Amino acid sequence: MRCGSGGAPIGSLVDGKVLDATGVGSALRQLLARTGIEETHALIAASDSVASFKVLKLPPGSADQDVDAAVARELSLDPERMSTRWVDVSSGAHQRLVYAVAWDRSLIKSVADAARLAGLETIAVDLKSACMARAVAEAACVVLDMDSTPAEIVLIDGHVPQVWHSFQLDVAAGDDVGPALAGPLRTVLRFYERRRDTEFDPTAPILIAGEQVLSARATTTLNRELAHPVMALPLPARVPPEVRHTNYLTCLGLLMRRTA
Amino acid sequence: MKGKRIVTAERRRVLVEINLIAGAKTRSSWPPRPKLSSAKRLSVALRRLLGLH
Repeated sequence: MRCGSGGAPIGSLVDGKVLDATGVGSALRQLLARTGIEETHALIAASDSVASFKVLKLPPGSADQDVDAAVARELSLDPERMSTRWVDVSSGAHQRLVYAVAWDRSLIKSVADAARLAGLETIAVDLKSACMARAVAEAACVVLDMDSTPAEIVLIDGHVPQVWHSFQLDVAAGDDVGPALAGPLRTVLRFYERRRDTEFDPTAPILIAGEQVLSARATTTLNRELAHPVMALPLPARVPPEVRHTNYLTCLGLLMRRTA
Repeated sequence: MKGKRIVTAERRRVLVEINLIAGAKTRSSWPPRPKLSSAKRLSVALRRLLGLH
């Protein structure tokens, strides 16, 4: 399997949004040429900044129309600009669990345009959080990606992404990054734990990915402050040295898709 | 046997996937729900109920 990684021109891909499809497409075309990849079909993981997702708990036996209404209510966004879609997570005697996404059509179109300009046909666009939730081994965990810009946190429970949050990580080189992570992580944990009918396993780990290794002191501090075990995101097998772990994990999640 | 174990483990694990491309079909759930309500199975169940089997 061929694999490669590269950046986009400055200003063309900002905060996960493709602002200049031509620039991103050109960088992608060069990356494909550099890595000798001739495949023309693309599975794309889009940043969660282009969408909103929510896991909804509905009464058992709720009809699809009830789900449509709940999704429209919970993700009440401008229908002129946004699309919504939902899938069943599980349906049992106690509840019908639904994963719903609303996304900005123009932003997704820009992503597909960039791929097209690189000579690729987009088969599927999925959210990075959903891809990571599929690929990560733990059923319940928090993944913090320090290398993305901005930094991202995904809380996963029951193998399903539940919360996504991004924040600017401004830490001077050599400074302890621990304190800068505690606040955003706490915000995400509290936000999820405040939800009705939610119990987040206190043994669920907080997995931290980044080129900058977390110091032992920072890890201990975060462990204590957040009351969850904090550790580095386990390295996927055979990850090339130039590819970021979370990107690799996201691509694994894309490959795990069963449908186009 | 090993393959069967892997399949069983995967079926137990809930995996959500969605496609944001316009017009794409997204499967309603994974693992798929048992097709108890399919016409064929319902027909078999009805036949059993009616003592036709």
